[in-house]
Amino acid sequence: VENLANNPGGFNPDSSGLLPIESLRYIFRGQALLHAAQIDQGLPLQPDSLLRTSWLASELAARLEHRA
Amino acid sequence: VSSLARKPVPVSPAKPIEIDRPLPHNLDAERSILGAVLLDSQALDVIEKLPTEDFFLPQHRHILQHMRGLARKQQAIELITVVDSLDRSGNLEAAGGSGYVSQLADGMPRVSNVEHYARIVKGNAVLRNLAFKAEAIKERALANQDEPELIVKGARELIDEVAASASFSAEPFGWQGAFHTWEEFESCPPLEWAIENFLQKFSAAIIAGLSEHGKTLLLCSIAKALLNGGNLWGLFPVRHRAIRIVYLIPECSLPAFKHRLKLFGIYNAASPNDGRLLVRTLSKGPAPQLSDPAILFAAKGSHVVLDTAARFGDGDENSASDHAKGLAKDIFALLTAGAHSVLAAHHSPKSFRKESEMSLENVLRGTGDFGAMISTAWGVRKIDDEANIVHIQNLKARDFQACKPFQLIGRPFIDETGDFRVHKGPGECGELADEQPELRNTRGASQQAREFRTANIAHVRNWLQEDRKIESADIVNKFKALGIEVGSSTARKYRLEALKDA
Repeated sequence: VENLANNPGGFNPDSSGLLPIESLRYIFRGQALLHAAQIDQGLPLQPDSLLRTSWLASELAARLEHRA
Repeated sequence: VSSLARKPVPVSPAKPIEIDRPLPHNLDAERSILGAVLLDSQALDVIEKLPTEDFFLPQHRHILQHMRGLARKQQAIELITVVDSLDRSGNLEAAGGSGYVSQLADGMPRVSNVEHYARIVKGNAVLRNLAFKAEAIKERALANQDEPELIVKGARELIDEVAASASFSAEPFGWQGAFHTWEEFESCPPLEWAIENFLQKFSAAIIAGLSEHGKTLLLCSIAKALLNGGNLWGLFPVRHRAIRIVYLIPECSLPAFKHRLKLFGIYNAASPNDGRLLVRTLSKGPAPQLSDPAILFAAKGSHVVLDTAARFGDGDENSASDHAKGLAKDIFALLTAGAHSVLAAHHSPKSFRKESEMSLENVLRGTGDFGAMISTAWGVRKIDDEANIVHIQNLKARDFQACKPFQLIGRPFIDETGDFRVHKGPGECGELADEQPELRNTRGASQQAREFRTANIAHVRNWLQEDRKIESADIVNKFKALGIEVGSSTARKYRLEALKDA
């Protein structure tokens, strides 16, 4: 879990750390919509996808906090 | 996004071609496919054969390309990873930015509909491709720098390329086009006769018999009836007079055929004043290819006479069945080109001379493909040389009740009146076995043939008593079990005779 958190599924949090805060917000919103649609259509939710979304949420929260 | 929809997007033409009109596309379908892949990466398998270039919007091509890249690396495909992949390669801006990519999650399609969306995207890509190819064809034609044949060949190749790329799944593009539509059923004309109960319109018929047994004279007589109307031999009313007859007779020289046309009084139909009879004889050169555009053009709206069928067809002449296949294909092409009928003379094999009965099998032996496609077959046998008496019997009648055998007499009537006369009408005339003079004259053989026939019919009568529904094929097998070889046509006749007696 620690490894996934650092590099979840090949996704590099460091590079996305360079994305503007608005981008992170778009992606987080979109990912949440995707999960809702997957549940709606009976598609399985992947654990590492949920992990990445959690990371997005925490990154977004940290950035917002920093900006505030 | 909407302004991009009107920009020309060349689909790999040799040089960019501008088309000043909106190109066919459906951005919603493209977005739905990308959204479906985000929902379930297995959707990529469904669109495996849909090239990235088939997407109209360049942004969508970038996104799909990166989705496929992630799949190849066995990485998860979701918004975070796709945006990350685009960003790392410096393509995020070209893909519309993270905002645009994230909006793919809005209004998610059902994953199960992805094939439907792919079909829409493919259809639009085909139309765009076709428009560019057509424009390229137009440019080349207007440039007028090559031979027309080369330009046409090139055009055909370009269109073939479009057709070849038109499928994205195992389902061939436009496969339904291989079958008749309901509209075609509804608008097609009913079965029509050119000559009632003798020659159907829009179909092929044959006059089959041994060489020198009067087939060409019969065909001249039929041509006369088609040109003049009235009644063929007083037996078969002409329902539609011919607009034109195309008579191809590569076995006969022009002087000989001219003599026959004069005999039947239809020579003037070949004159420019009339123009309803187009003739090509041996004197004009070898038999033409029936696929020749000149022949196909002339065939439209015409009755085409092939005298004889053996001289036509592309198949191997030394193989009867191969040749028959080629001929069947050519005759079909003539009918497709709009021929009102194709009437072919067919040389029966020499073995038919020994037959005391006439059947489709023995007059067409070895040419089953040809026999299968024709709607009507008439067998002929000259039974009296001196008076030119020809015995005629129907051997195949698709969708109609054929008349009983009959006989025509040519001498002296063709010379005196320009046509055959009926010697024995249907109902007065027996089957060939009863009418054939050599069998009549050699009393033993005739007697034997009649005895066999009577005995065989008695067998069938017994079998019918056991099973009223017995079919011709069963009768053939039952005879086989008795060691008697009987063709299915003969079995059918025996069955009819036995039923009549019953």
